[in-house]
Amino acid sequence: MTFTRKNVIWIVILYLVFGGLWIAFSDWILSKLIRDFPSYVKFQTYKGWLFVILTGFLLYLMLRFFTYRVETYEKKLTRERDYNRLLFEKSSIGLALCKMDGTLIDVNEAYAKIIGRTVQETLNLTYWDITPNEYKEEELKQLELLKTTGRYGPYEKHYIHKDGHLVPVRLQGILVKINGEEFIWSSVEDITELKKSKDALIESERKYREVVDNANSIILRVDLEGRIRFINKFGEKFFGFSSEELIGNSIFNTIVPELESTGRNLRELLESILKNPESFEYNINENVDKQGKRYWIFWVNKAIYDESGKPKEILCIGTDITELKKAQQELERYKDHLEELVKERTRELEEANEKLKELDRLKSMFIASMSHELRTPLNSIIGFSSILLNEWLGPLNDEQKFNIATINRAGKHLLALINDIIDISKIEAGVIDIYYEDFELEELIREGQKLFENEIQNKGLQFITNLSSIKMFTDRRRLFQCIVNILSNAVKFTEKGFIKISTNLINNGSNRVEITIEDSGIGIREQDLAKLFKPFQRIEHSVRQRVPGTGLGLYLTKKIVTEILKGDIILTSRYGEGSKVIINIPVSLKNEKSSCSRG
Amino acid sequence: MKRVLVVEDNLDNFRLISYALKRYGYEIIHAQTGEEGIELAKTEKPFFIIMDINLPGIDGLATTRKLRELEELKYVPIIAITSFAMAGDRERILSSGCNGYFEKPIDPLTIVESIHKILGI
Repeated sequence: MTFTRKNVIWIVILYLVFGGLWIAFSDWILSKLIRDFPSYVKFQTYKGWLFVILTGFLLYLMLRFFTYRVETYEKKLTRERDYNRLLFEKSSIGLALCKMDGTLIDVNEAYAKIIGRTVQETLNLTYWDITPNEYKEEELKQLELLKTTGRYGPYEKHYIHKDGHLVPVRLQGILVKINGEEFIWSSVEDITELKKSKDALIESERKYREVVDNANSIILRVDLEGRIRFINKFGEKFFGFSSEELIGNSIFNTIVPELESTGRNLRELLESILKNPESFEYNINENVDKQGKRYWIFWVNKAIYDESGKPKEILCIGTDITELKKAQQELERYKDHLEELVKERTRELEEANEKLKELDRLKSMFIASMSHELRTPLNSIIGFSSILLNEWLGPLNDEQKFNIATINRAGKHLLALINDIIDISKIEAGVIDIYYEDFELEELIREGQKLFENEIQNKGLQFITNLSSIKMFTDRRRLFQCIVNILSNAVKFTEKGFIKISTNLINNGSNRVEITIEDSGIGIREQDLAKLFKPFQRIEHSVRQRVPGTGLGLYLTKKIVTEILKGDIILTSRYGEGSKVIINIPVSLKNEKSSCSRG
Repeated sequence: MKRVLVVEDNLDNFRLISYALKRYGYEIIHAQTGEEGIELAKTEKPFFIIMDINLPGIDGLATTRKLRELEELKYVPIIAITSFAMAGDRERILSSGCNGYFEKPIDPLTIVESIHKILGI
């Protein structure tokens, strides 16, 4: 509560008025109450003392009040002053008050700390002392600014630390007038950390920039209208444009042709990508450089969003796949060519196959017609000579008989040859007719025996048989053929001794039968054994002239035994002593295909 | 006298078989084609038929099948003569209706006996 001058005057006036009134009133009361003068004087003195005491008391109250007021005020002032001082002292920002010439009048701890000194030490300096020389110009500029505008900065400079290194700082300040004198009031920030992070950021940005620029990919940012917002160095080089020629321009006038060389409309494609930046993560299209040369680029696209989450740009990273595409196209062509080749080959193979089938057919026809053609005249030769020989058409003399017998024999020989050849042809052509049937082996052998009975008897040979009764299921006719052939050889080449046939069931689980034909004939030399089963091989022998044969018998026999009867034939011999032939075949071929089969 | 129909276009073969048959007292009727054979079979009603498979026109097997379709000739024995080269010939001959077959060249000395055996005579 303060008193204005007006208040004070009123208070004094009131004091005077009330004082005057009291004096007047008290005098009047006294004059009315007291009649004698000495008492009057006494009471007047008492009144005077009372007045003084009251006034003194009033004075005391006033003084007390004001002192209190002043104390409180002073306390407040001190508190404020201390508070402000504390703020000043303890501020984390450096604060300094200096004269216009730079002398530091007042600094806080933070300021002193910046330059590595105590407050005491700092107060002896000017800011010129702690400013490196290169900033002199800047300082003067800032000073001018201060003088003209009343404030300077913020600007950055360095302070020289007590131990010599430079501290980057940012400062700003105002011009203040204190008691008529001008001072500079500055706030100074140590921006070492800030600078460090800024430098780090710049470095980092530089590094990333380097990566982006030097990447072997084209990196560009496009806005949703198709304008290029950024392109990396590699991209610039690749397309042959400078960034000024590209930034802000549409992709369509620059790096994207309207129509691809494949005929695809690129404007349509890319506009749809721009409309739906999230749905085209990858695409391959043709691009064009400044020269007009075309490239195939594989683009990876990523939408970039603004703060509200809406897409605002697309980041595209492109890789040149022109070579790859070329290779792919060549591969396609090659593949097509290959397919053509394959088709051709298949056609050729089909033709060849047809030809082979035709060949097979011809073979069969040949055999069939051979069979027929050859047998027809033979039929006549053998048949008619037989009839004549048996004197059906009249008697014959010996000489006639002999000659006709020759014809007959020759015919039969020819027939045997033809049959063998046809059989071999059939087997080799795979058109042999196989006919499996059940039969009794002993019976079969006796049949064969009968054919040679006479001859054996004539030659004076012994015929020994050791036969078991074995039921067989195989090609009876062919087995008979083989047995007859071997027997015929045995009889042919044996002049004395015996011929023995034995059959033997081998029952070790394989269920096969061994048919053995032994003779005591001339035998075969070891070196000739191998030749025997070959066609048209006959042993060099004096006996050869005497012994007719086709030379095919054993070859055919072997073929029949192995391919039709599914067995083996073994020939052993000792020259001069005799030979032994063993036919080893399965007893039953029940699981084999019979007849009309190839091979 | 029993009559035998011989369907054979080759004259040599025909003569051969005729010799053999005549020796056994058979009378020979000759047809040179399948069609002729069918006609003669119908009219002459032979004791048995010797059928050459390789005939001009319709072959012996077709002729046999045709004969078997005729009511009156269903049971006439038919003996086939064949060159017998192809696989499956055996089955084809027997399934067409022949009672038996002989492979060329035939043996005139024994053929009739063999035929009798087949016919059960």
